[in-house]
Amino acid sequence: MTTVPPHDTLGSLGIPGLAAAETSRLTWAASGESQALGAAPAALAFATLAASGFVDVVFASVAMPVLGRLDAAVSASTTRVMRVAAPRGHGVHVHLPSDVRMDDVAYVPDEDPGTVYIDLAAAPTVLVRAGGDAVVLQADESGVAVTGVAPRLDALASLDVPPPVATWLATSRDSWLVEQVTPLVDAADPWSSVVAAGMLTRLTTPSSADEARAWLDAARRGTAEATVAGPRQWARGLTAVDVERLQAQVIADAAALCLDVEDATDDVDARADGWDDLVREVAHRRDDLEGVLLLLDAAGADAPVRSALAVVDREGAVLRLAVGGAVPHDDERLRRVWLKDPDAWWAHAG
Amino acid sequence: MLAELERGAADRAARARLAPVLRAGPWCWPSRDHPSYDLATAIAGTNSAPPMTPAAIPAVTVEDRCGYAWVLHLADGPSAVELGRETLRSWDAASLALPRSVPLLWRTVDAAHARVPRVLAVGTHLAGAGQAVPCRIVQGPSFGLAFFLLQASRAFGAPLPPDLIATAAIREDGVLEPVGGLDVKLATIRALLPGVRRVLVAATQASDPVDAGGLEIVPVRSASQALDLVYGESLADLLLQAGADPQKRQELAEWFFRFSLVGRAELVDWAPVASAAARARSGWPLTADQAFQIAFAQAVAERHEFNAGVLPVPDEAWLQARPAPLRLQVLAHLVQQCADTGAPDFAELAPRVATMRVPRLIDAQPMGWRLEGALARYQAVTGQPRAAMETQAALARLYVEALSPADASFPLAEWLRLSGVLGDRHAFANADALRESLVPLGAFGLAGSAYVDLARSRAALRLGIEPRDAFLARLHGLATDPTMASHVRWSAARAWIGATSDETSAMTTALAAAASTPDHRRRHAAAVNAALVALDTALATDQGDAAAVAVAGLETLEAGILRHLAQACGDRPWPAFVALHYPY
Repeated sequence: MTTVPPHDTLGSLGIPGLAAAETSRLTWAASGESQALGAAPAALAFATLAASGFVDVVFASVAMPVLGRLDAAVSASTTRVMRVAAPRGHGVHVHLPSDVRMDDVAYVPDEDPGTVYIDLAAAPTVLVRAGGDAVVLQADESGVAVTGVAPRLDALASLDVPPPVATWLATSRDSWLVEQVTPLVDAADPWSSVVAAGMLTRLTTPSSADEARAWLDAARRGTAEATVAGPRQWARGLTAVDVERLQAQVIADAAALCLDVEDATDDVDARADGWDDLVREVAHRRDDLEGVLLLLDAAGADAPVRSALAVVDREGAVLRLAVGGAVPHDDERLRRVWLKDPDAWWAHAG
Repeated sequence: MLAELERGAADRAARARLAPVLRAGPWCWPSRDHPSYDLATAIAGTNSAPPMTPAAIPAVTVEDRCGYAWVLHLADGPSAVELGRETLRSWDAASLALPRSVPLLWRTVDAAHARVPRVLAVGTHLAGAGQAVPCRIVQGPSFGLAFFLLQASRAFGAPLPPDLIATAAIREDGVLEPVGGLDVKLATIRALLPGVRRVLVAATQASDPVDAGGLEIVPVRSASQALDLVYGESLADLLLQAGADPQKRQELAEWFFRFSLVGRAELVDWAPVASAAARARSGWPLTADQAFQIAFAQAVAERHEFNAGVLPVPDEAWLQARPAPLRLQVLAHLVQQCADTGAPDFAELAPRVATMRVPRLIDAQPMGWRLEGALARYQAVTGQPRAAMETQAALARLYVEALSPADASFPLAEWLRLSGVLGDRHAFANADALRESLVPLGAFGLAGSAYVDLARSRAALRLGIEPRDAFLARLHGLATDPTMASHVRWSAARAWIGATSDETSAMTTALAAAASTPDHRRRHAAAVNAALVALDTALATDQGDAAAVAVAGLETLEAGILRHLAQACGDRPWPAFVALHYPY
């Protein structure tokens, strides 16, 4: 049986922007085949089994292409537990509906943080991932539907009215920002242009006190600085179709970013080679989306895009804790973010 | 490699499962330079991979596309699975095969067999998409050879090689048979048992189209061959050590002697007996009686395997001190040895034979019939083939009348063979009628059936009896069955090649390859029949010189029989006489 889980499933897990691929089904391990010693697992709660480390609980190993490099095994229907293990060097990550507490339904052994036991009786829909492999597990009476999920690869194809970023740049006196945005303009794809517009909106900073006063005066007169005001004015003129396209792209990018932030946290924990560069990269990507959100706010878009970023920011807060004060503040972009938005987790990533 | 070691982490459940497996032997351990070696030591609670201990061996089973790896052992502890009825029958078969396959046992098999083996679960491997079924009961016969080696290891107190696994069914007589799912089993071995390099399989399975993937597939036709391969000379060393004890030495000498008297059908492979006896004779301080017993066993084994060996003739006092049936059996062996090797001289045996024979066959005991059979074999190669055939015909009927039809197979085989030699279709018809009456009873057993089928097919083809294709097919079957005793197999090959005149066939190639095997003990039967094929070809193409060369070659291999034939040949053409009358 092949089914694609509905969008709502991924939405309930906080990552609506992932794309679902093929689904495979597996059945609960046949009952009555227990090699257990002592009490039958069926009589024991998940917490009790977790306390005993699942020793003597029978699991049937599973091999299916949709799992990629994940090592998985399934228990009998009486317990409905699935064990998933990450390949060497990767952490395992679980995404649950927001109303389910992780500690209630997932057990990660201290001695093997790459393995997780999941109580699919209590949480029938779960996303588990490690490295580049991610699956949504949906349990029912007969077994588990395992659906591969991955970030969407399709980029924003077109906009009815592309942003005239080059025009705005021509008036900018912020040489650093011009240098940052120019490559995006040169890329000449709709999404890069929107990100560039968002960066101008969010990161344009007066270069001196005089310039700052000039901006204020212009604002009082109702003639805002073009570099700052231009993108918002463009956003207010977006068609409904373009707004929808941009929202979809933000949601997709947020999903991909969420996974990458988790991986960055793993790398920080492991002090893997290049972890600081990776942290900066995800911080910049998060700020890209923040800039686009400013434009969507100007366009009067609804809240869904904000909720799509909630999971990213939850993972980002974890990353911020992992990074601690380990990264020197030598990144101009993030410095500017910090000046504007000192509570943003990504402002503290570099 | 085990998934946990591959990942470099193992939780409590995995550690509980893997600790006994890693402590039991080195099969699952990664190499010392692998990043997970330290994890393996931590799980096992040892500083390094453990050395092999006696009575432990890995094994694999298959369910669909899922392979299960296990460790079988005889130590205390729980068993991860139960053994099903068929698997337990393999355990029993292995215990019966052991004393029939080992040159000799100096420890009882009972101790090794008494305890049902314990099974440790190593893990599962899916050779394709799917999910494993938790295994609670292991069914099937594929543990057979592993069971056999496990019991041998326990009986000898000698560890098995650490790089070895066995997957073959075993019969009580030590013959190995193929098992299912070999491709999945090999994949499972590669995945879960990185320390294993060699996989023993039944010889009949060696040509299965499977992906060995770096493993060495070692075909073995019998349990004794597996033991020879696994232990080699070290088993003989253990035997010599066992013989250091005088009481044990006495027991072993008796064992050698009794074993040699049991008969051909009881063993698949006599070569290890010959080898062990030779070592015992040279390495043990023996009394005269013990020396005779072991020399007797060695000669019988060498005759069975190579038509060679010098059988010592016991002195009269020794013989008279034995019960009559034993005397008859020893004499039968001596006469048979004389027929096959030319020694001892029949004149030396004749007075003793005369005192033991009774005027009428019908009044003799079965051991007496065995002596008469041996005398008929002697007659057959000394110019009295018709008398020999009549004796064998009478013996075959007597065995049947005495409700011992299994023993009829050997005289019946000779009756059929000699009917072909003599061109006597009537005799063939009578013999075949008796055979047909016995076939429904399944009376001959596997070894006896092979002898009867070989002799019948050869005679039928010589006599032009139909259906020719069926007789050729039977010969082909015998000749290509790697479990068949080599003298039967290659004799069938000779007959098939001769009847088809197909000297370019795969059969000819196989015979030539077997005849050039480095081990002279194992190539003898093939070498003899390769010489006979050359002789047949030379005669068919009227190449006298080539025929003479072939006969000369045969004389170096079978000097005793050819000496008999030379005396019986008279003025008949010698090469053609050899080709017709050579008895095997």
